[in-house]
Amino acid sequence: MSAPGHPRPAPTAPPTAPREEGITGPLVLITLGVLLLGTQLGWAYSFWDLWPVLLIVIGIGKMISAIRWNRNLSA
Amino acid sequence: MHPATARRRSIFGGLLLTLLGTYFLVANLLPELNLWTAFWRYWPALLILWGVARLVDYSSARRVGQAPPRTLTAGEFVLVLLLVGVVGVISLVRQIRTDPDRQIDLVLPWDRAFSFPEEVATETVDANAALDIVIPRGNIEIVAEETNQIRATIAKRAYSFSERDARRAAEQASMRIGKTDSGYTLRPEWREGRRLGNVYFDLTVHVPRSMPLRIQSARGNLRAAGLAGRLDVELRRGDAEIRNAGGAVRVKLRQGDVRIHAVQGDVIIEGPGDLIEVSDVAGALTIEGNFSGPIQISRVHGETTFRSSRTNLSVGRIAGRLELSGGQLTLTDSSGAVNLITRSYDISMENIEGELRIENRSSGDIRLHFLRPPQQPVQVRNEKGDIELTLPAEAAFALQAIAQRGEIESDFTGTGLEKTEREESVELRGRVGARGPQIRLETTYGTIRLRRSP
Repeated sequence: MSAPGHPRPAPTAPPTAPREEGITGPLVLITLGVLLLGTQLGWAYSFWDLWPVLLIVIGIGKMISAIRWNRNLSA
Repeated sequence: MHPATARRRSIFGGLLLTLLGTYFLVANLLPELNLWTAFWRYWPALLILWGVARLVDYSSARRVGQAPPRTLTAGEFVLVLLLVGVVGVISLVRQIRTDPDRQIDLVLPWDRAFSFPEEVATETVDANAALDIVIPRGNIEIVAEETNQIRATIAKRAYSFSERDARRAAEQASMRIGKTDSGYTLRPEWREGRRLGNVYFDLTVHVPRSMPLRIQSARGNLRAAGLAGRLDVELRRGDAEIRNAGGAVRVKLRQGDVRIHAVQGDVIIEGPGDLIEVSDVAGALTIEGNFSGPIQISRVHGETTFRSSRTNLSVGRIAGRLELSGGQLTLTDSSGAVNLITRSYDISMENIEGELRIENRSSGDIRLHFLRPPQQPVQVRNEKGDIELTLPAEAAFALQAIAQRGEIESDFTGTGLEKTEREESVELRGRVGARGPQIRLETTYGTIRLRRSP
């Protein structure tokens, strides 16, 4: 959980928190909402077509978090 | 976490997920590429990719002197399970929806119905040749006309999340009128390739009045009116409503209601099914199979036969009605022989003319009311329960009534009837009047009542 105001670890401290998955959750929710809303509004492409977008969002979120983690680890 | 155990994290999990998502997205948006088929064939390659990615992670961690990422963290494990579940369910849904022979309909709560009209070329036909209508799903309405043409209007109905999906499904098939050796066919012609989605063909077909019809549908309702030719219907699941038919009618179904009104020919209904309503049949009526009911039959000129696992009934002619509902069987105003073998019904019959035989093989009460003196033999055997027989005062008959472990009450006593009471049974025997038919009543654990109507 990377709530704003969370104390940044000292440079020498081990890179425990922040867990960067924090951004993946909201992104997935937003994507899910957009896809379902689009379906409700009768978009040409429905949720059944576009659900893999969720996988892409989760994948990108995980990559970002892994990169940040590793950068903290090296710092 | 201790610095010594702080591990690197792999970006490959995220990368793989992103690539997989892109692959599925393209597979969905460009179905003609058949990427799903390829995925289900080559999916183990993912494991190999995963293993290679871990090797890369391991060696790069070693190079910078850090602990390598775990092969599979708990979070990733859950994610993989979730992914397999989601992809599995989604492909299953698609699989079920695209199987043309499937028995189950998969209409999801968020699906909507879309309807696409279609024109079918009008065909001028020989009005005495037969027409076969075969559709997998959909409602059929037959309108008989003084014409020599088959004219059909079609609405293809598809259930889907989006109009685009529904249209894609609906566009796979078109209804066509074809010519065969014995007549004509009206059936969907499927485009090459995979079948997608639920497509229902709602048809309104105008046909020449005299044209014999054979109709087959796995799911959906049928309505037909005014046909003069033979009508043969097979519905796996759906309701049939047939009115004013000039020829014979046969309806075969596995689930659904049948309503038939005003038929000049014979009617055959083959179950199993639910409700039956039949009225005004000039020919014979045959019902076979188990129907959950109610069954309501009125005015059948020919013989009515009903055979189910519980009941075997034949009635010469029904001027009134026959009703089987719940545990109650009622017959009023019939002529000709009545033959009934059943179990667990409360049976009530009024104004029966002709020979009567009833055998109730389990508990139930039997009530018979003759408005005119019986002219033909009456034989009633009840396994367990009461028998009440009401006869006009002027009735003449020879009676033999036996109640095992029961009683006999009679309004006709003292007129030539003799009651014999034994240890476990009571018998009333004798003759009332000079002539008249034999009446034999038999029950166990019940009372036989012989009533004289005023």
